[in-house]
Amino acid sequence: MRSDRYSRRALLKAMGIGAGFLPLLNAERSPAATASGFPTRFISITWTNGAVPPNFYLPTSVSAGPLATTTTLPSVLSSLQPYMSKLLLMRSANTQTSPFNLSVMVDAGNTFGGHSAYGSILTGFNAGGGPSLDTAISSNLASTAGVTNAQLNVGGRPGGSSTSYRAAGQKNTSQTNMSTLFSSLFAGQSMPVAQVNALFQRRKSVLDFVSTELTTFAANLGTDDKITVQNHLDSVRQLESQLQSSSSPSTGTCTAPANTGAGLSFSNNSGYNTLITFMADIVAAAVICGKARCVTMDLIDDGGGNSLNFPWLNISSPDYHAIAHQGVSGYTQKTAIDQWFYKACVAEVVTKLAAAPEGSGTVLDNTCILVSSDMNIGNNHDVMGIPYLIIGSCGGFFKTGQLVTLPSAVPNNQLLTSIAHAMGLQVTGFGNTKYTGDLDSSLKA
Amino acid sequence: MFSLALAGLGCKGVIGTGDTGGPGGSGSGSGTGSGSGSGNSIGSTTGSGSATGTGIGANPGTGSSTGSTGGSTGTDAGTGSEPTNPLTLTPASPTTAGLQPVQRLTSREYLNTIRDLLADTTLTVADVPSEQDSTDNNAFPFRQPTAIETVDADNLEGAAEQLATNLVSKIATVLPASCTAPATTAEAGCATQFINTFGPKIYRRPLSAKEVTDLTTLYQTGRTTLALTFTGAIDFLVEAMLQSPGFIYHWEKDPGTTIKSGSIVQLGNYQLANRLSYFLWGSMPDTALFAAAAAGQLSTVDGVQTQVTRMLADPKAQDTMADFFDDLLDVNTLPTRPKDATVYPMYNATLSTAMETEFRSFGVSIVSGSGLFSDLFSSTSSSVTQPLATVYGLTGVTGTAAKAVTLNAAQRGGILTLAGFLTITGETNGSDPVRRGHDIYTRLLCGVLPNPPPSVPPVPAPTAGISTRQRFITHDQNACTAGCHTVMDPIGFGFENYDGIGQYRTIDPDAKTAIDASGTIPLDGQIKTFTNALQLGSLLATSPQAQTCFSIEWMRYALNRWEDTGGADNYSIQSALTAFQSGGLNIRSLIAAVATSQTFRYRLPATGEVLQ
Repeated sequence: MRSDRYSRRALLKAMGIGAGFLPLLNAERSPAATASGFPTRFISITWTNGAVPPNFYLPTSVSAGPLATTTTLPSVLSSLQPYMSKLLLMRSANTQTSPFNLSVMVDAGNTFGGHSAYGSILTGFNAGGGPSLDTAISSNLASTAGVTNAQLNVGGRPGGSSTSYRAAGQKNTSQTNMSTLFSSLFAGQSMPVAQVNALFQRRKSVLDFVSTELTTFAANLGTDDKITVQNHLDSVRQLESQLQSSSSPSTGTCTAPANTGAGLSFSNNSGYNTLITFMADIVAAAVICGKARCVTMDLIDDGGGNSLNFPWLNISSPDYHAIAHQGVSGYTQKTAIDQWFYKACVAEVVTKLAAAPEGSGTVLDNTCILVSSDMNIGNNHDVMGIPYLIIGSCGGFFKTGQLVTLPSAVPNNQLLTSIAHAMGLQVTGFGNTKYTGDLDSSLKA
Repeated sequence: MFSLALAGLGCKGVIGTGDTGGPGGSGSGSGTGSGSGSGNSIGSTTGSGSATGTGIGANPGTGSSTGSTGGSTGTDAGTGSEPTNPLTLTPASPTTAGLQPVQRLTSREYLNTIRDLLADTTLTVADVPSEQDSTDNNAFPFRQPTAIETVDADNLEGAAEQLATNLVSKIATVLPASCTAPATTAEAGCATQFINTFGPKIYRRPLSAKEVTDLTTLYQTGRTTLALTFTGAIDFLVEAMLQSPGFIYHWEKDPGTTIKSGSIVQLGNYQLANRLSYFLWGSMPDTALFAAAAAGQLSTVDGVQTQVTRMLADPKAQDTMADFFDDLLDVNTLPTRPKDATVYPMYNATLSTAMETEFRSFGVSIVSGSGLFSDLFSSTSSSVTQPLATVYGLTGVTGTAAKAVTLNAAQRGGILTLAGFLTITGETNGSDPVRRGHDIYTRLLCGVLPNPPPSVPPVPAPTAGISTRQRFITHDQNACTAGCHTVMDPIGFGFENYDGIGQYRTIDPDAKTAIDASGTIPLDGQIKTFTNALQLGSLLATSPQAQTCFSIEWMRYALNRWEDTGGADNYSIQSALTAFQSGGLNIRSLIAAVATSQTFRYRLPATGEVLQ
């Protein structure tokens, strides 16, 4: 367990004092900021096993356009009813299905490869064949705004897959230890400035030494071993960058969340319910406090919820994976599970961000939350018709409080491109170059 | 990767085609691919490992790549013919050895090393980088360290800082005796002494001149730029060295020129000392092993054998033995396998911990006791706590400590009838012949199974009047499942006498009829029949195929990689197998043979490596 003496976040906080505080550092004014100058954020939340169509998509009787205040959201999304004005719902024009395909996987002959879809959800490549959207956003923030600690990857399955890739075939490991994450972000916030400065010097000296040693170590190694050591060196340099950066706290109140996950671990299922909400609270607080601008939350690995059951929902068996495979006969249980997920995780993040004032709105208004899954319904691993949900206008970029209907078979690349635009990236496409273009004309305010 | 030809057994599945992504070769990369998938009950399909390098045993490369079928393929299974071990070990050349890729300390190794180096046991697995431990189809059977990413580097930094903090109050334990409170004028000299005495311990080999220089410079930075005291700067050096590649990685290269032997190179004494120590003890060499290395005694097979004999007799070897079985049969993942509380109300964290503890101690008792392979599949001697005794139907076990017991020989015999294995391979609410059959086929017979195709209909849920066996037989009649389930399920049916947490039963809970635990298993080129799990254990104990696979698994465990697909490890595996079989099938003989084998004492230089 890290000593409070050595909290990096205390160090960053201390360094941020007096560093061009509100509302934003000058370097962040464009393109990664809203028109009002507040930072934009991106949060990706990935669940599994798709969605039960009648309980996730608005019925076809609801036409595209602004959602009436009397509209009742489908049952899975019921916890988001208070935030209907912040939602951007997307549906196929004439059916209760998603318009989005993981087209790159279909092209690769992997239409029913839902269990390997994590590598395509945010990359727009088949099988993690390129950097993911969060990596691109974070890199852009680093190069254009000097923000080098934007990226945060968290997960709910130790050793599980990640939607975040820093390069083709190189996924980013998610932090699945919530206690460690909590400590690294929020512990030791009251450290004296002199102590913080001494810590900075000490860490920098150590990291400089380690970098030199790694370079020497790798000099005579074989090609593949050099890559191994290069990964390590890159990680050390990333730590050094984080030392150099300063955080940009929002105008909202920065309060550490309650440490509700103490003693719990994702390595077993007994605390899963509590930990999911704890994770959501940490992510929300990290974003509000300016400790992260670009977050991925991967709740499940590629196993579709193997060995994951839900005793708090009185669903002890079979596990979620088996329930999904039951198809229609499992809809009741699956709906209950997904409803819980949206409440415990998604709505938790949304509620916290919506409660943090920022300018004339809230942090939620300057954020884009993308909720997605790895399959269509989950009964047959189909990657055509992946459910996506956007919450938050990202500083007014997206039109929210709306239902948008799209043709079917829209490659997810185009949605990723629009989100990239919302986050300040000037790109004509994202992922596989076969699928350029965006959905700005349909989704933009 | 050794594989069995399923075609001869009538299976429709084909290894290594389409999106099966079979195990990759033994390249020297550090791919972090994590093949995972669906599967009806096993939860394993399309390997979608995303490794860039081929990695050590990094299973499928990317997406729907075709997998390699490995260096040797089995022969077709015959029926009614002479038994034929389908695991062939050819070609086998005495002048070859496999690669030794650069790997970092695993979490266990890190914690054990810190225990032995600094007498510090305050850190836990959660404080240090963990490793890949996949239970997916065709996954490498043991834990493998992954490349160090930012999260891991952060953990290493935090761990080093904590250890350095803990060391402050006992800094004298790492300083030369004359330097615990040196005069100001003696401090520089003491720093040099510290670097030259502690440095080789923490890096587990002599330091190079450049390393001594760099550490001396770092000490001076500590004294000047950071304004630390003498002991503060020493503590600072320890913190830095704990994050250095000299500590983190297994590449304890000896000083001097590399000794070449044809196309391979001999590991130096310090390299071999570390390889031996981390294989047999999971930790750094002790003083005696360092002394043997310093004296060059590990340059000969006899010298290595002497150390191996000593090390196997040391209690520190027991964890290695326990870890092998725990990882091989995935019992270490018990905490992640919940059970339906309405069906198994007695199952909780205490019971699952007791199951894993028993499983580990059983493996140790066999290896360090009789050592016999046959006892692994037949022994009824165990050690259980009271809750676990209840699972076994035993009375007279009270209190919280584990007690030595004799299990009912009519119900139990060997490791496959222990609650830990039966629980990890059971469903949340009952038995699972598929999982049980799969694990035996892949982990004890080294079989390779294709990943299940998509769109597989689910197994029918437990239904009154229909036995588990009937449910799975019905499922297996689907055309897309038959290819693999004709192999797995008949093996797994042999365990129908044990429910989802290993409790013994004679009546099927749904059909209310007497359980039929008969089955078949493809073994040594034939289809062998058995009437229950105990008979299956007997078949495995005397099977040349199972003995060969067991030897292969120990070699994989020792080298922490797949065997070389070109056969560079075959000679060594064959040598170990011969020693195993000629030594009365004593597992300790096998372990010793692995540790003295060619591919353990030599290595193939990596592509692009500059030998010095």
